[in-house]
Amino acid sequence: MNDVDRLFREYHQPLVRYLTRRLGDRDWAEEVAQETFLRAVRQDRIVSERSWLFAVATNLVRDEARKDIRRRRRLEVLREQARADEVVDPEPLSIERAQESAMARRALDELTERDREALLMREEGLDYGEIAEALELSVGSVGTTLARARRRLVEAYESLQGKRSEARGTHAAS
Amino acid sequence: MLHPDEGTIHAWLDDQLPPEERAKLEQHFDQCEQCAVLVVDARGLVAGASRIVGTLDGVRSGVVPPMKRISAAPPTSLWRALRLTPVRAAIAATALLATATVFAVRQGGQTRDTARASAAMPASTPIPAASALSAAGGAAAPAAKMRQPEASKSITTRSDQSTAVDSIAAEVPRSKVLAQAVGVSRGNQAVAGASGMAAARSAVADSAAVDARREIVANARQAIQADSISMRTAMKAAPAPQPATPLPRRAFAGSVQLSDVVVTSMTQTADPRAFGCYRLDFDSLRIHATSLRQFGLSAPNGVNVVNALGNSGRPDSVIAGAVWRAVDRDSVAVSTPRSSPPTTLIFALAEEGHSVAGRLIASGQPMPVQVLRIRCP
Repeated sequence: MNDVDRLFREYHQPLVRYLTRRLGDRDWAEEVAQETFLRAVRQDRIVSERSWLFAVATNLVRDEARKDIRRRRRLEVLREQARADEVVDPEPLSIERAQESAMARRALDELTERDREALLMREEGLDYGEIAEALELSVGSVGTTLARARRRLVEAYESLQGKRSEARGTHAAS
Repeated sequence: MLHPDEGTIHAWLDDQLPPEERAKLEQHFDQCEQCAVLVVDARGLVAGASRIVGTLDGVRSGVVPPMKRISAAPPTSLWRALRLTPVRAAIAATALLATATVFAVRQGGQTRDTARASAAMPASTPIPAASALSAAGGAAAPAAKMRQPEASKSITTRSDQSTAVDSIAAEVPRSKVLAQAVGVSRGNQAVAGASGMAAARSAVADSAAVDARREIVANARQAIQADSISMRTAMKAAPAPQPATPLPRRAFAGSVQLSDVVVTSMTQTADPRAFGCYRLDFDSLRIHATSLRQFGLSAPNGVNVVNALGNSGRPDSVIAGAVWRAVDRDSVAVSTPRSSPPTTLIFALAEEGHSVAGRLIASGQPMPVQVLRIRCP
């Protein structure tokens, strides 16, 4: 097994999951992951593989997000996905789960970019050193970043949950 | 010891502190109720955040049916079931037509003879038509008597067969389209049929398939001549897998799952077969149903690794809307718009010792890609 093969086997899944959580779009996540691995293939030497991959993927997301073309393309993808969904729906989500997922997405969006990325990287098992390297932070500040990210995420999520419960109560009363 | 800040508590919970600091902190937590409360709070945040992030994984994706839903066994075509070839079918149809004509002529004659005989007999003595024929026909009658039921039987059988032949006629393009859809080549036809078969079958009715059928006929000769090798076998010269054996995904030589990036092995081999031209056959039917595709080719050690040859093999050919994009100095990614998905990409490795690394992604699902080594155009 060569290095690229091994690299892919080890990191593809967590990287795509990280990117999917980060972007909320699996296609986009796959595409960014692909680009990341293509770059890895051509990299002569990678010292810290995981942090390197996550850093490159994160930077790609940032770069791409700045481009208008990306937005147009994404819209196109979404439009086509919606069209295709009329035909095939491989894993329909329950309404409840879809709502939870949407709330989580909204809560995550309330975090700063750095907090969000640090949190998602930690959820993929990156240690503080790797997160620091990927996000160009000091190791000592990773704990603080994560603490802040977690607190804000949970608070935002609970707030959204509260609003939803209120809306349900209002709806039931009427 | 001072009270630790929230970040340190999280670092402790994440097991990211050096042993000395950790020991000190734990000692402090044992003595400090205020911090114990903070630890409980932080633990809740860690668990809560993790749970919230986990709910993001329910992202919908992919219009391509998952591979596991696709039957592992290729459906048996009527061609195979009846062991018919187009030539045999044509012969059978001709024979059927001739027999039917003879029968019709004979039947007409018999009817006339019977009517004549019936008219000659008294109405009160009904005689079976065959007897009348026997009486009228003399020595030839027994033969006719024998021939008639045989002919009827034969007609029945061949009539069924005719229906089957019609079905087969309809089946021909379908089976070929299916073969195209999974990139079947002569060398690995038995192996390659599994993936994409169900999707291809369901999409055969699509009008797009009509064009694919035409293209298949044109490509068939070339496909037969092509030295069909998977990337894996090209690199590692592994023996071809036995078709009858259920194959694990990565050992599937007929259709390379590039999502695994198993294809990089060209880098490591001096196998002379690695140098040359290759044709990537995509599952045209499935690719029509997807929203995004990209294929990357790369090599770690060289420049000008890939000569993009479009889809006809001519150096000047282009795929409408396709972009052969240089990712950097030695790799290229092929992107195509949805409106004009290619079914074939031809590329040439410009130098020896290069790799092909990449994957075809469509709506988040890896797509099977068939790699055929061909004569360089």
